[in-house]
Amino acid sequence: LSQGAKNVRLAVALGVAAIVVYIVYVLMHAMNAP
Amino acid sequence: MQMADHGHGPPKGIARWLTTTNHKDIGTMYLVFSLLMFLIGGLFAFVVRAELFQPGLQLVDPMLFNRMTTMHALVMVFGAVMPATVGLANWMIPMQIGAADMALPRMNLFSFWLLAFAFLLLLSTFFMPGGAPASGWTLYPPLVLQTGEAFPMAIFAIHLMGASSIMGAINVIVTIVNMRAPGMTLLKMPLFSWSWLITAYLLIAVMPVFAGAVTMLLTDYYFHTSFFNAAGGGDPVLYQHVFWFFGHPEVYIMILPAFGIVSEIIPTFSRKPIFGYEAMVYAIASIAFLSFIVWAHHMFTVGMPLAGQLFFMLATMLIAVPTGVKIFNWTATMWRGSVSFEPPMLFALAFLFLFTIGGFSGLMLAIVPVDFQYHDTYFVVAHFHYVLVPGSVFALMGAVYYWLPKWTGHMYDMALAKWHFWLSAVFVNILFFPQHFLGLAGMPRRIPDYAVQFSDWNMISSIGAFGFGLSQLLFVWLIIKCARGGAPATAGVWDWPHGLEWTVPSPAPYHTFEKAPEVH
Repeated sequence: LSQGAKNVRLAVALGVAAIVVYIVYVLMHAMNAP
Repeated sequence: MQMADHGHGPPKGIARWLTTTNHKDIGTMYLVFSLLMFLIGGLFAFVVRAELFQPGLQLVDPMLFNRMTTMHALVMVFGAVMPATVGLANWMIPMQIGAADMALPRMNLFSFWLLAFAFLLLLSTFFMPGGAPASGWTLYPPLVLQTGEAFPMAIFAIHLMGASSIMGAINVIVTIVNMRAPGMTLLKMPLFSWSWLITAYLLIAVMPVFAGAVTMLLTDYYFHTSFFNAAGGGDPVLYQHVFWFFGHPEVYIMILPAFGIVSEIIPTFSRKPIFGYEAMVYAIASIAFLSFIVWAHHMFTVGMPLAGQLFFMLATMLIAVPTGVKIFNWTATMWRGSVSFEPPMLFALAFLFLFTIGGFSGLMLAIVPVDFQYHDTYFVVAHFHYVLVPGSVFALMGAVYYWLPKWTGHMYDMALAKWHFWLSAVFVNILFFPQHFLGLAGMPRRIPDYAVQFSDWNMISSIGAFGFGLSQLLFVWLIIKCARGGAPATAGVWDWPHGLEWTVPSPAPYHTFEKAPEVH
């Protein structure tokens, strides 16, 4: 893999991690919501 | 000229700044943006302290006062301190680790302009029906839900600045993980870069949580959900938990890069390597870890189980251990060093003493029964301003004085810088130290009026505020003067330069390390 491709791969992984944290947090509270 | 030889120097004029993907240009834009926000946020604080100069209501109505405290905090936290650290990261991380640029230069530019747009939006809420948010930067419901038409704009602005921060953090991690020069192992990396690597992970972990919290506010406001609405079976205290799960790590997002800066400055002006390098790295990592398990110390008074109070109290006190390691190591670095007192070192030393005062008042606030007394008083205001102003902001100013010759290629006016330091250091204490007394005597925070027995210390605090604010004009003038000219700076700039950034000429060429340096 080229340096650029490695960079993009890691960036996408971190971005997905951030989005997962967001969704999990909102969903977790949505499921407990009255 | 090196740039001309490469045939791809920066475009001229405004196009350079709109389209640049160069880490140095983007770093400069972040730093200039941050300085602008520092002045705007300072102006809001000026209004607050002017109103509090005397008891009674004289200058602004209470609603505007609340908008001022709220916007002061939002602008200073998200517009001044965080972008300043990102600006330094952009400028210095590639140069410290021997990379040619940040890993994702286009995303880097996008992060910056997203932030600039977010703040345009946030500040424009002043001119919207109902006005800017007035709930405090914590945006607690139900109060925040009384914000008028500007509410979704403010939330959108927060989402945008969060997205910008996350992209900035991703860029830092990818740059450090993938683009270090051969031989630059992680445990050889300068401590500023280390502090930012850990900060970036904190950002990715907690900014989405904040985004989640404000999204839930938005759905409570527009879609009649009841996450935080007691009338619908929800719980406003839930918001406080979610907010502070973000908010406490956020505090460390603002202070860890400052730790990194101080760890660069103190060895240079002690002419000795940092004492306990690895311990410094582990201390930053420990502080970052602990930041996730202390959030409820911001809300001891909401009524939580005793076990919860004990856990959060003890976990909070535990932070003093790695922080103590850092303070000890900085002191030990100076021990038997050949110490000199150039402006960056003056700011680092003031940081050492004054941040420690903020740390100690933090320990006091960590004690549950004591916090019951101090909660929501000026003691808290004094505490976090000590941590953030002579803490973070002094470190950031020290960083500017440390690296400015590298950025501009000129030495700055040392006498003027020392004037700036001494005026700031004196006035910042006149500003914030009396607030401890006010808080202990029971003066509540975020209130535009107060009982007459608080008059004297409030007046003194306001005089300190005006002096501190005006002193910053010297800083602005010094930077402009240095950017325009001055005695040429050498590559090393200081007597005992250490690290790759001092191996390139001053000013740092537009492109550095296109061929990776070999690190031994």
